[in-house]
Order: sequence, then C-alpha cells, then structure tokens
Amino acid sequence: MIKSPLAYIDANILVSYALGAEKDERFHIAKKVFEDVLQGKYAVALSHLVLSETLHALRNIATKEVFKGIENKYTQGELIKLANSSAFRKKVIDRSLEAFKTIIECITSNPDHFRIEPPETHYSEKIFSEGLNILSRNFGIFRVYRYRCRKCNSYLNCDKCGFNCEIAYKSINAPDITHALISDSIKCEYFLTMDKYFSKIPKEEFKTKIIVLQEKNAS
Amino acid sequence: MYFPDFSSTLENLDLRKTGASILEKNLDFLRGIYKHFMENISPITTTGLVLETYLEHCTPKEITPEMSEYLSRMTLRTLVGLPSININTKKKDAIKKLEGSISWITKEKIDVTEFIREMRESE
Repeated sequence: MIKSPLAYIDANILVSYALGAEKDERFHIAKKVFEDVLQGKYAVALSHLVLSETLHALRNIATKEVFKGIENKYTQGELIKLANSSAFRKKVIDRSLEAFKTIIECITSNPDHFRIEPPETHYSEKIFSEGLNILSRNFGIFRVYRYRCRKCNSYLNCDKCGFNCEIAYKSINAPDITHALISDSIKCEYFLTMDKYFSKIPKEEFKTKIIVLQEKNAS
Repeated sequence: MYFPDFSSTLENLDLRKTGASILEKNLDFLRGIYKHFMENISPITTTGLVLETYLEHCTPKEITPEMSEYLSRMTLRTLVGLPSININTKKKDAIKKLEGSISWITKEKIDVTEFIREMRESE
C-alpha cells in the first residue's frame, strides 16, 4: 500500500466528481483534487458518514429527477397517490442504487488511492461533546432567500401574506463538525471540502488541516 | 504476499457476520485450513460451515492494515451487491472511471455542494 498523506474528502467532492463536468457546477474543483491524488500528493480517506451522505444525496437527486419528469397537471392528492406507488419508489431506488454501486465499485477497487474508514474504528463520546463545545462558541450568519418553485425554480409570492422571501440561519452544523472530528480521529492530514461554510469553522480546534476549495476568483 | 481468492467461499457465508471473525485471524492459519478444506471437503457450503466453526475457536491475532482495509472494501461491496474482489486488486484506472460515472442520474446541471449543504441543514 502506497504511503501518501491522507486527505478526508467531503461528500460534495466525491459526488461532484462522479457527476462530471456537464452535471455539477464545481466539477473542475473536484477534478483537481483527484488529479492531485493521481500524482501521489495524497490518498483519499472516506468515512462511512461521507458514504451515508452520498447515498442520501443520490436518493434526493433521483427523487427530484423523477418528480421533474412528471407532467404538470397533478393535484396534491394525485401526487400523494403517485409518490406512494411502487413504480415511483422503484424508479428512485433503482437510479440511486445504481449510481451508488458505481461509486462503490470505483472506490473499492484501488486501495492505493481510496482508503475506507476501518470497520473496527471506535469513536469516543468526546467527539460529540467537542462538537457541541465548538458549535456553542460559534454563531453563523443570516441570509435572505426568495421563495422558489421546487419544480421549475421560478420565484414565488405567497398569495395570502404577500411575502416572497425569508430569513434563514446559515452556519456550520453538527454533521460538518462531526466530519472534521472524524478526520482528526482517523489521522487525516487534510480535510478537503467545497462547502464555503467550512471557512467559518475555527480551524485551530482541529489537528487536521481544513481546506475549503473554491473558485480562484471567489472571496 | 499471496492471499487465496475466497470469493466462492464468501458467497456461501454471511460476510457481515463472519468477515470480522475471518480477518481477526492469522493469514498463515487461514492459508493452511483453506488449502486443506479445498482439497478434502465438498460441497463448498460445507467448506464454509466448517471454516466458520474453526474460526470461532481460534485465537484472535493482530489484524494488518491491509486486512482491515480489505474487510472495509468487501463489506461495502457486499452491502450493495457487488461481487467480491481479491485482496491484491488494484485497478489503477479507478479514479478515471469514477469521473462523470453517474452523470446519467440527472438531466440538468446542479450544484451538489449547495444540495448537500441544504441536506445537512435539514437534519
């Protein structure tokens, strides 16, 4: 087994690279990570938490895709009936599982490039108490978002109250902190992500070097 | 180091139940009993049962990083119904194969980073 430094890869990098240039907006950033892996700069470390999120993301993508393919003339009651049908369920399961299998096939066939978190790994409760400690000392930001249609992405206004936007709290969250602490626990030298909210994480709290990969012209 | 291909044996075992047990044992021991069983016992389901029984009674020894890594990979493959692979398998083109391999799952271009961010925030 080649001894390259370990880099914990966030789910956004893994899924973006597997989606490819034509389907993910940040693919070129993810691609650079894997080019570095090929050059031996580091080996990819994958946790079961990242793989769980990957599967969940694929199921969500598949659901949206099947939903978008539905004709525009269903009532809520008809949509409920459709969503509960075995045909709809099978479509989503088949698509997401096929995609997940493809990813698993690739990441399990070269241990020099991909290292899976050892099955006997045990995490201390300390991970979660540390996570709570970090979260409690950091507060995120507020953002204002326009309402959008989930199907066609057009902007919406509420017919009753007239509002067309909302205030949302944005911050690193428990899953983010847990990823970074797992990266620490399995002794990864780097933690790589494309999620800009990780730039707000107090990096001095972690042994792993947290790197937020963004567009070159991004602030 | 040569490691026998257990793929046919594993097909007849519940990997998640026995995988950890198998890899907690010494490789030399495994090689010996594997060879003995393959030469002296059939059908293969019986081989599996006898192997499992023997392993339950042997002393756990150190797991090498390679064995641990192999168990992780095999467990994942079993979970999604992929066939077993040899411990020495190293497909050098795995990274290239991964690139764009699931592009078919969506017709539109998406921002998966934002997508996963929303997922995490709704958890």
